[in-house]
Amino acid sequence: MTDKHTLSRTQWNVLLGLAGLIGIVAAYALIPSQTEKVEMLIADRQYSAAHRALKDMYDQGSRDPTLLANLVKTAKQFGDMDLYETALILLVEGRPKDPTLRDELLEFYKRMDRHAAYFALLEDSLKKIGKPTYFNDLVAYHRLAGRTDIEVEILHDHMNASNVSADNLRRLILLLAKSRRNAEALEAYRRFADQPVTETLSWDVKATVFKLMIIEGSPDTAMAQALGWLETSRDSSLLRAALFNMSDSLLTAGRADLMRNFAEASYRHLPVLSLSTGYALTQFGLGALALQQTQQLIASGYVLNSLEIGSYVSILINQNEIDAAANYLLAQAPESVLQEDWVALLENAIANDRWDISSAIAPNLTDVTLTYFPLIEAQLAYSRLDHDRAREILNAVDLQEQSSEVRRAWFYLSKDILSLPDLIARMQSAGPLSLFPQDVLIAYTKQVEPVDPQEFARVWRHMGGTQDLKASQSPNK
Amino acid sequence: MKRRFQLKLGFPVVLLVVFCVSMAAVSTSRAAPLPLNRTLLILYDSKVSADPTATMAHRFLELPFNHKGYQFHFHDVRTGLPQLEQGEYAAILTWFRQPLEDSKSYFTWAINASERGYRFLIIGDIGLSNTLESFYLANEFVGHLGIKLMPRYHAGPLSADYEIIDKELTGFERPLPTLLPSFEHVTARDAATEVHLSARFNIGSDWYTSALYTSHPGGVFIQSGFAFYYDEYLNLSKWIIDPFALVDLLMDDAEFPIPDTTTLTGRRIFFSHVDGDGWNNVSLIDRFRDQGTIAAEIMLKELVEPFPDLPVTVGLVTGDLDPEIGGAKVAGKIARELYAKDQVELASHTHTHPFYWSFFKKYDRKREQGKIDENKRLKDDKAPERLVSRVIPVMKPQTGREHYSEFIAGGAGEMPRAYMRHPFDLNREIPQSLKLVESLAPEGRKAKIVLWSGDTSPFESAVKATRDAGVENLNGGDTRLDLMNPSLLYVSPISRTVGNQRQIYTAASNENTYTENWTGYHYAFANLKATVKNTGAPRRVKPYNLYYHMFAVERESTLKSLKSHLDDARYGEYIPITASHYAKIADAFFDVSLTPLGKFKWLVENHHELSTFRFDDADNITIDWGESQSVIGQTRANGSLYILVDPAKPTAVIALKPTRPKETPPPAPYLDNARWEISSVEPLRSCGLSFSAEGFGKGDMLWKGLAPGDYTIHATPVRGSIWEHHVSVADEGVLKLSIDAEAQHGATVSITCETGADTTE
Repeated sequence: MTDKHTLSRTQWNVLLGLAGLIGIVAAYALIPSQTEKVEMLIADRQYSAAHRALKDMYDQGSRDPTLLANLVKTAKQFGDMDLYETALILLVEGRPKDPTLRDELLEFYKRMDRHAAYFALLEDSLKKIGKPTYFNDLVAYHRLAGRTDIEVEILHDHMNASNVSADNLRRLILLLAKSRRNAEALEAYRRFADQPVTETLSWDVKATVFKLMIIEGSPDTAMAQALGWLETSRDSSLLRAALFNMSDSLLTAGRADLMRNFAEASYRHLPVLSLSTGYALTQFGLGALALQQTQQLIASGYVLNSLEIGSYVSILINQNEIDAAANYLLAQAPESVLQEDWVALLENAIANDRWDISSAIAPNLTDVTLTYFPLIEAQLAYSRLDHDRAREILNAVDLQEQSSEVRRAWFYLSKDILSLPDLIARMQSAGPLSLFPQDVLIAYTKQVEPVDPQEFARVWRHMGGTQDLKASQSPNK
Repeated sequence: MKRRFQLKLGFPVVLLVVFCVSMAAVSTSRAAPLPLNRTLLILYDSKVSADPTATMAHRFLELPFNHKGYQFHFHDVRTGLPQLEQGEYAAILTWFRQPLEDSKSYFTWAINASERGYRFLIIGDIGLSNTLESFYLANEFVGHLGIKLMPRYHAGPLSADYEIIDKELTGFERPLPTLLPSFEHVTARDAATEVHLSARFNIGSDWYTSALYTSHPGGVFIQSGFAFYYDEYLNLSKWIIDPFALVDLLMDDAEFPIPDTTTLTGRRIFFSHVDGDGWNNVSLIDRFRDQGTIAAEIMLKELVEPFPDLPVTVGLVTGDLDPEIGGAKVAGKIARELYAKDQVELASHTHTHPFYWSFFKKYDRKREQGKIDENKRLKDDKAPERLVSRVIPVMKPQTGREHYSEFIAGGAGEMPRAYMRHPFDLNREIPQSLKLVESLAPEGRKAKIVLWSGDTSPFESAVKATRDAGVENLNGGDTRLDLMNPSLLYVSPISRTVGNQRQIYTAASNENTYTENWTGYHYAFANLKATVKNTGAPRRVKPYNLYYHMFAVERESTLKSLKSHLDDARYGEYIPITASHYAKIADAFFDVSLTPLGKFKWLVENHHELSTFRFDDADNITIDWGESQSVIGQTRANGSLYILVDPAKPTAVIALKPTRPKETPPPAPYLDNARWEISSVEPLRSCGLSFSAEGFGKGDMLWKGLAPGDYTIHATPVRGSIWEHHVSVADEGVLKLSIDAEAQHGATVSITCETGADTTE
């Protein structure tokens, strides 16, 4: 008789069988796969064993992505770089849109000096994934190498991509303009204008675009743009360079009609900008405006540098203000009058009968200017190859009455014009040689020593204690 | 009668003798030639470049000038302008980066120097300040260089184009920039001015030409925007101008035997040195890690013992052994084993491993204590370990490290040195550290060199301390020439000026620059091969230097690279020497004196350990054996002729002659190249020659100019077995040898004729 609560033999057998089956399946499920074995080895830091196991699987034909990913790690660890590269390439091919894998392979090629592979992968990565660094790196390496043609084509092809930097667009615009691809440059500018850019980056682009607009026949647009741009900045150093270039563009295009407005608007914005527009204004016959603006700037306390002095003096002469030009020049540095350029500025005025230097007395000239008159005249005569006249003037200068600076200026002019005996005689008759500046005495001894050692020795005695040079050693040996 | 006769005869004789002696004295004094001046004066402004190392001249130009045989002497214009003796310098170089504060004094001095015949090389800013007076004086100065500054400046890249382009001088590593940088308007002033590069530009309808590179009897002028190109995005630069051609232009193509620091006995030098950082680090390589093997032991077993034919200089951080400051004595065990090896040269890597040497120039212990307190705080916060911890033993806590951990860097802050328990003491860092190293070596072995630690920028008295201790010093420079450093601009010169002292730079970077300071890309040190290749050709500007830290053996990939580099050294045509030997050769570069004795003939003096002299573009010249003295060989590479002088002789005479299709045989055999240093070469009376040799591994060598016949080679080392071999020399007269004898402590070798060969005239 069977108990309804107990299992039959058959039922037990089935149950046991099922339990056994479950056990087998469970046991099988607990056996780690090859991959899991490897992962356990890696977790255990048994990298050698892991690497061997992975290599075996790879050699047997497995290309499972997880295997490859682990192989990449272990191969790198062990310096098995051929296998590392092969596995990484397979991974990249399997996941072509994955930038992480590509970045790792790119780093490998870069760090291992694999030039061709690096550039090929960079180009391929740029085609397949539009990551900004691929573009920037590719363009940069071509730029560094000076492969400008390739650089321009890459920049141009990617001009409208969302991740192109303002810096790259700027360079594209300038390079296109340089190759006279003006329309493309203006098109690239439209893209550039949408970017948030620093002032430093933008002003040479703006000057270029301004020029291109003038060339391409859109002067009104150019002017409107320029005046709009002016309002966005008060950085005088950036604006000055840009405005100089823009003025030059108007000058080249002969657009006097636009120049006045441009100069007045820029002066209102920043008075110092008059220094950038002055040259173009004078060329257009608007020198009075240039002079007015510059003088107002000086009156406000601005100090001109040497380049700016030249521009100001040119404007003064252009406006027939010769006395003012000479006074201003000589007030800066008296010897400057001996610079051919400055003398040439004055000479032009003299040649055009706008300033009679021989009449000498002009109420608007300062005393300093007056003292240099003879030297200016001598320099002018010399530059006209009238050497006799130059010598006559220099010999007539009374050195005893002159300041140290005038003596210096006289010496440097005379050493090239007077004969050596005349030079010696004039300097000796001027009084103690120590009244001449030290640099003059050094130059003088160089002139004198080869001819007259006694004269040389006398000068050295004059200089005793002022120059730490060995008396036995001529500087002119 | 007799007396009067004698007087009559005697007086003319006396007169004659006096006359002859006077004429001899006059002719001697008139003919006494002077040594060549190989030193340039470099002016710099310390307001912009704090010391010579920071100057553009040092970073960019010193290497090409060194390569051409010249050295630099730096002078800071802020300390006043130097009094110049006539001919004191070969030329004067300026590369200012902004206007000078006292431009008037400078230009006045420069005018005087020019008038006294000094040639100038001006690159970059002339030093002009924004006054008319400065402009006038500057123009007077540059007038001596045949140029004139115009009151114009061209900015903006577009309205200018190149006009004259000297292709010999431009496009060295990259072409001229398409978008011209800004430039000054400069014109040629006289007929003697040669314009090598110019640009045309317009202002309105007026066109102008500006000179960008000029040369003149008074000097050379280069506008800086056209010397090299800098890419801001990549932070990399490349030469536009050919810097070697620039040297030739300034120095008027002066030809003389160039003292060469890359080559010895006709072969490129190989040397290897190791900074001891990470000495006690347990390796991460599992077969070593599982046994707790430390880096120094791995180095011994894997890189030293298998390569007895390659010397290696090992610099110990002696603080690693000092339990009083946090080191451990156990480190000494491996040190003793290493320093017992014949091929291992003893060196110190300082005692407490300064990281930032400037911190110790005017040392303030209180300030360091502040850093120590900060270090303790950071460690207590359990900040992650940084690279600095690589210097410190990563091992099971020992008494020293536990007790003094607050004094040991590793708390993630920027500490001035590794071990900070005791106040900094230069005595302890240099001479005492050297003595400590010697105490770990067999009796009689000396420590010969200090390898600078940390930022490798020691101050003057630190470098002097090494000289006072009678040892060499090395490190710094970080030379690389590869895709990531794609220019000779990244190859360092021979040395760094430190006050009145000289620090010798390494010839290649260690693994730090390849691995982002050992934080990744550990495989990348394999790429040292690119630098070795690129600094070997087309110009051999550096020897092959394998330089690494002890901790480099922690990683399998780097260990593998190191073995590969050592294999390259073993099987390549190099001469392996110690790091101190290289440093001595480098130091000797600055002492060599060269005196012209006639056309293509020079007296060489004070060459010390430097025994190789080079001529470039030398296919048409060869040694004139008849006129030369103490020259033992010559070899050619990359179109250059390398002359080997006898290291044992204090002087030599090098004379050259044009090569001819049929050269007369040399009067004696000569050396082409050797793996050992060869000296005291003497012809044997009967036939053949003898010489002394010293070196590592087998003595591979190539001799030329032997008479055909049979020879016996006999090598007697100071230590080790005698080696003898019989060879035959064919009609070409070439003898290729591989002497399998121990020559590390020296050997005497003879090559004697057996039959048929007769080298005697």
